[in-house]
Amino acid sequence: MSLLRCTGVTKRFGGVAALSSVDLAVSEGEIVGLVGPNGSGKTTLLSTIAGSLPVSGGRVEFAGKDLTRTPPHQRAQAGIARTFQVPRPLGSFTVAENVATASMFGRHRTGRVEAIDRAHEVLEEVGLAAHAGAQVGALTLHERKFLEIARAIALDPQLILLDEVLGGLNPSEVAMGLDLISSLRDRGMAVVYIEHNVRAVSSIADRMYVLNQGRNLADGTPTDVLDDARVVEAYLGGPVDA
Amino acid sequence: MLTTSLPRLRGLAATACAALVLSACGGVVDDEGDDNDAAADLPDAELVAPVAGMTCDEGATPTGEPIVVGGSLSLTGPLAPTATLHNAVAGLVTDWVNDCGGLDGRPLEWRVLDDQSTPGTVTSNYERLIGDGVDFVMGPYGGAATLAGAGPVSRAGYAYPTATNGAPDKLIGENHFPAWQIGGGVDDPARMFDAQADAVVAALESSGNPPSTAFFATAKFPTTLSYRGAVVEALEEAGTEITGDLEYDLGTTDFSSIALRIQTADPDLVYVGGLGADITNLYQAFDGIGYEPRSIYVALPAPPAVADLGDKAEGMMISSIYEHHEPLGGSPVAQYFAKSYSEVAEEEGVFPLVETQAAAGLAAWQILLTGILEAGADNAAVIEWLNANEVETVVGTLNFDGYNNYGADINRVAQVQDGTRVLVWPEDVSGAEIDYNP
Amino acid sequence: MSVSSLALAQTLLNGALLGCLFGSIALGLSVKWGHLGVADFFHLSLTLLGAYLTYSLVTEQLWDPLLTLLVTVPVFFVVGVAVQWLFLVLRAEPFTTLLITFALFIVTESVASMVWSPDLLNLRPRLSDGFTTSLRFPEPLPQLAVQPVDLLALVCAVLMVGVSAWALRRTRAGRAVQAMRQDADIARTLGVRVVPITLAVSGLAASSAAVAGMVVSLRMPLSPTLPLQWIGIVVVATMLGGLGRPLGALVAAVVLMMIQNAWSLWFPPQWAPAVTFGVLFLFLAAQPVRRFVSEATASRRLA
Repeated sequence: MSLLRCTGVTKRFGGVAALSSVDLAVSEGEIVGLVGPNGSGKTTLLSTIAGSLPVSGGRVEFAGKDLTRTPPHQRAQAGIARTFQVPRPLGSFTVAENVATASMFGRHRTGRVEAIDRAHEVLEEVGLAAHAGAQVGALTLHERKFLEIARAIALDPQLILLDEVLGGLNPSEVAMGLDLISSLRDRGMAVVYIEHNVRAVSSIADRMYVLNQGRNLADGTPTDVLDDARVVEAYLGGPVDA
Repeated sequence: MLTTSLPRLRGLAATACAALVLSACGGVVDDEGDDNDAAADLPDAELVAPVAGMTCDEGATPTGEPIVVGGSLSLTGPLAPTATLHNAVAGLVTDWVNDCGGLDGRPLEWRVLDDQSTPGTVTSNYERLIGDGVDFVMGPYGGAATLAGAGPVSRAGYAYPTATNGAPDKLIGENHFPAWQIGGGVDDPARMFDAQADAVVAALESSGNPPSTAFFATAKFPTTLSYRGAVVEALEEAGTEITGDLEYDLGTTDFSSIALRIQTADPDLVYVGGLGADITNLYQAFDGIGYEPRSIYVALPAPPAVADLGDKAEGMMISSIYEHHEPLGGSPVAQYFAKSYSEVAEEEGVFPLVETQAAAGLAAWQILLTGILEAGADNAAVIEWLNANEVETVVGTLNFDGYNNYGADINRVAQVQDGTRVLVWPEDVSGAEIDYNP
Repeated sequence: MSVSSLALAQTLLNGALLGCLFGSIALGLSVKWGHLGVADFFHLSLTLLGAYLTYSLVTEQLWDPLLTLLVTVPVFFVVGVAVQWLFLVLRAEPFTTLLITFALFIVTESVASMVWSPDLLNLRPRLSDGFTTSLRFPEPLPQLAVQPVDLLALVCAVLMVGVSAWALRRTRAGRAVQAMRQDADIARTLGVRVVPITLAVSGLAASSAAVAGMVVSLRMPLSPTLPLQWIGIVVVATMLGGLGRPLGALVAAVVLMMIQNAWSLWFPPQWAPAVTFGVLFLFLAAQPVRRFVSEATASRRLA
């Protein structure tokens, strides 16, 4: 049974359809890559899953429950975490406080002191332990991106939605990030992973979905998808490795 | 300088808290308030005609077209406390005239518009009232409002009676009929407050112990500042040394610095050119430092503020044109007015005793009504008649001969004696001698 | 003129204590402005209504002033919740909320005029001596005096501001409020229940107005236009203290009133309120300088 099942999800902004009847299914402990050209609706789909955008049509089911009309904080507490493409740390909190906030109000709603302890554990995991007491303003881009991941982990979710968390990073940082994402799967979390860098996604994804102009274009294993002529045509305009 | 040890401060705080908790068992004094009692003591009064030359036909129902008098009053905003009082007087006079069978048999009608204490709205209110065809107008309350209303009223050729116009030097014209003759007997437009200042100095001198030093604290407000300037000059001329002269912003709530400066100077006379609740707040500051002024003169305090001071107000002197006692208060008109005003005022929630403002309000109506009775319901005729004749009012006989139609000098001084306000100067209207020995 | 150091101490003390009252009023404004993004002028009106309600309960029902809080605090909590709920239903932008609270501010003045008359109402003559008799400092400063009402203002201010500051920093709810203020969307994705917290904060702010109003009714004569006299000092203290920082607002109000009183002791008192705005102006003018300095230090650190 799928952990997450989106059926016919449609999102219109005024008269423009950003998503037209999109289907997506994610099983427990699975990394699903979500790719597509710019403006294909990837981030919009993520937002409808996280609940920050209400859908215009279709259903979002999670762990067997219909969450289509559920507000975002309840989805977070149900076990859905997300990151943002442009990191949005809480600016007046320290790094550890940012992470602790997720732990305090997430799935297991911990006390303030316990949350800080948990935050230090998570920061250790993502390699930001040294910055725990720092103001977020002092972080570099890659540290901010990893802070986004740390905050998502601290919610202790069953599903993490990652939006271009490795965009703009150098190759060694990307490699570290991919290891981190893989480790999430090893701990039983499911991941929906949007990334511009298709090679990076395909290297760790169990399955992939391709969106084009707000519609499902293709899905399947990374190899199948990347060999699909329609994908090559619509998304890349040429062979993947070209 | 502040070397009190921490334990001592803690002790003080603890004592204070204990005092508060203890007082919590009986924090409130069950007191109906002196003002209400005073109003309840007023004797019943018979219905008489509100102006001389009018007969009161009790029980006769007025008929025909009503005579409509329109006015703009600040029923909301900072001027509302006093303007509400004038509205109460207007309603009272209207009922009074109609109870007496109307004005030449015609009913009197009062139409009021709220100007929210904004002069610009006063102008448009009078334009609207005159456009709607009211027969006469009554002036608004406050100097700025009076000037703002003067334009449309004078242009339309209407008579403009006012109760207490605080800007006597700004010329309105021959159609202006002020009840409080602030500039009475003064010829020079630049010295319109001299009459008041002279009354203050004469009253103090009548005690035989005029102050040798005086300290001035004045609210930054046109009327109080002009008044203050005239009194400073008059006192200096009389040989009083001015040991302090400061201004404070309208709406000041903490007077502790001013109280300290007064305490340091410790003058014979403290002159407070204050409005409204200034005097309450100043006394709270005096209480705080344990200072009692040797003597105090207050220009324009709100009546309830003085009443609320209780014993502390004893001996306080106040600018006035009327207090309710013989001889002015002895007339049947004054008696009936005092009784019915106390009832109306209580309904409106304003101070129930007649003093300067309410008396001036009635006097303004008496001026208008007398004019209508004598000259007919025609503004030009009323203006002409009033300029040529005297009018009997509750505050005395008024004429409109001088600059800006200020004629008789009716500036007086009242003092709180045994908890009651009484006129102490000049002698022809006083109810007691001034009790002054700083 | 010469003023003794004792007089200075007294006026500074009075200023500080009155500042406590203004700081109590600024508390709600600061919290709502800083954390809910609502510059709530109606908060000043609520304070006035609290004062009037206290007056009525004391004079008509002969309640003890402190006891009135049992009624006013919960009632005001509901009012605060209702106002915020209205904003949520209207999905009001900050500018809209400003207009609405300003309209309520104007309307309240008229309503107070109608219900309680525009005339001055003074509770002091009805109070027992325990509230009105000045307390002398113990030796060695017996010349310094303090009014019990002012001590009450101090106690209320310290309690309310202290609890607020502590709750904002040290409780889960406080962390939620802070997270929400910084980025409501992020707070939601981290599981923070924004709507109930917003309503509760607004309710608590309104409750604080009930307490401040009680002190006001004991401290000064009431008139419907009183909030206009507070607005300068309260808004300036809120801004100087840093939006959303109750302790900052209290300290700012205390310091401002001390400066005003000290100023009035030597200089023309009519300029004292202008001094308040002068301080705000200097503070705002100093911001670009401060930013420049902090950026310069930051860039040096990075380099």
